Amino acid sequence: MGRIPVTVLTGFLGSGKTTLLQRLLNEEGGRGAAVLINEFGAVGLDHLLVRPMAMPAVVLQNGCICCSVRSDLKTGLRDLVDARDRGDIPAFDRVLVETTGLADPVPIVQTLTADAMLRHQLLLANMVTTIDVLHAAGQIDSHREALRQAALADRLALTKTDLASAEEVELVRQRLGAVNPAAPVIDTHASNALWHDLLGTDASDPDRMADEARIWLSRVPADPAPVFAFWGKDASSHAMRSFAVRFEQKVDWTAFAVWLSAMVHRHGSRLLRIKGLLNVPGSPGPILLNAVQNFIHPPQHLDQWPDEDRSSRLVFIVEGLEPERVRRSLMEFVEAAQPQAAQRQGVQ
Amino acid sequence: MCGACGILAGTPDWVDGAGTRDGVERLAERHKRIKLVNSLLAPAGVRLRDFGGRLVLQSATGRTRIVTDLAHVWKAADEIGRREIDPLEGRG
Repeated sequence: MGRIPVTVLTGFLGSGKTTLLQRLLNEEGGRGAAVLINEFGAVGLDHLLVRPMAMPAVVLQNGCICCSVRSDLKTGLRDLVDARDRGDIPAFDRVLVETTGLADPVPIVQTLTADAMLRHQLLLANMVTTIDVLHAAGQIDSHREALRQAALADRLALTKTDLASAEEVELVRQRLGAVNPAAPVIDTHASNALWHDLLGTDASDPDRMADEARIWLSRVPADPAPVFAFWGKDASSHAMRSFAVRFEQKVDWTAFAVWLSAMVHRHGSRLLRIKGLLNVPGSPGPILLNAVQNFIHPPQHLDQWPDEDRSSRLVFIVEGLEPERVRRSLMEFVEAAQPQAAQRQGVQ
Repeated sequence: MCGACGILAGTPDWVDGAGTRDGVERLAERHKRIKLVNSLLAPAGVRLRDFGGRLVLQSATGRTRIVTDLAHVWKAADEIGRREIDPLEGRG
């Protein structure tokens, strides 16, 4: 049996997560979904991990399996899997985890990826963040949680677009394009097939990586110059930035991996997302990289390039790091690992 | 174990990259990685050596740590080095 995909549904307070969840569950794809909900409106799941209050899973009328996560997300997920194995609840083909509006999604990702049993049974498929277009600008400017939720998303789901003007929606889209250039933005009000549009292609499904890469690349500017977006009131330690790094030459995978491991060690909490394709020697297709803070999805070899461009392209979303320093450090390290450069500089 | 554990630990992991390698190529990769790692360790006065398959970190003052994987290397280097490892701070 393959691993069951898990979608983390997050979004700021009042941004329409529950409405979106209800719509998803009413669609064909949602029939076989199990749902974990953090019902404490003002408390993040990560704060509840110590409370021993597991709730039994129940089958709701619409067929979805719903379990309130009142204690430990890990326990909740394990209970769900165990209940399925015992036959207490129907088999499910997807788990949706709805977080509170103030939750930092990263501990949820870490919970899913750090536990050996959960890793074996479940696959972190993607993170969907709801964005209330009426309040998005203010929330992103004022609340670090809202900004992190948008920056970490694999899919951005616009809500309340029917209440906003086309110009307002477009401004929010532009804003999100700067915050998280690699995430597709879906207008949930306009969508007639929400499950397909949000979850039809999972960001981390190995069989669909080429499609996913095509989605990312369509959003990364073709301009070879690095693209920097900055927001936040000043260059404080919490200022977030997104930027792209492009290599025209092939990238030594070993050098890149060593550099990345050191970066994750020293600055993992500041590396919100890294996504991209690397053109490595000896491989007909690119290696696809997808990282959320210090969790790095297993890299995937794609059989072929998703477009004509053969350059390596990486999108970074960082918090409190200078893009130019990151870019220069990476490029110098990779350059030094080239055979001629290593010989010249005597890399030891 | 985080995703940074790879070829140094002898486990298939992301640092290994996708795809397969034979023994000779694995060994070459291992040596190459040690050189690259040492270029980041140099500012801290720490050096990684391969003693017959066992990886040992040694500081300028003679302190040593046996390490198993890349994540462990950085952590141990922080403990015994004269400064913390930071790829943004330049290399030796």
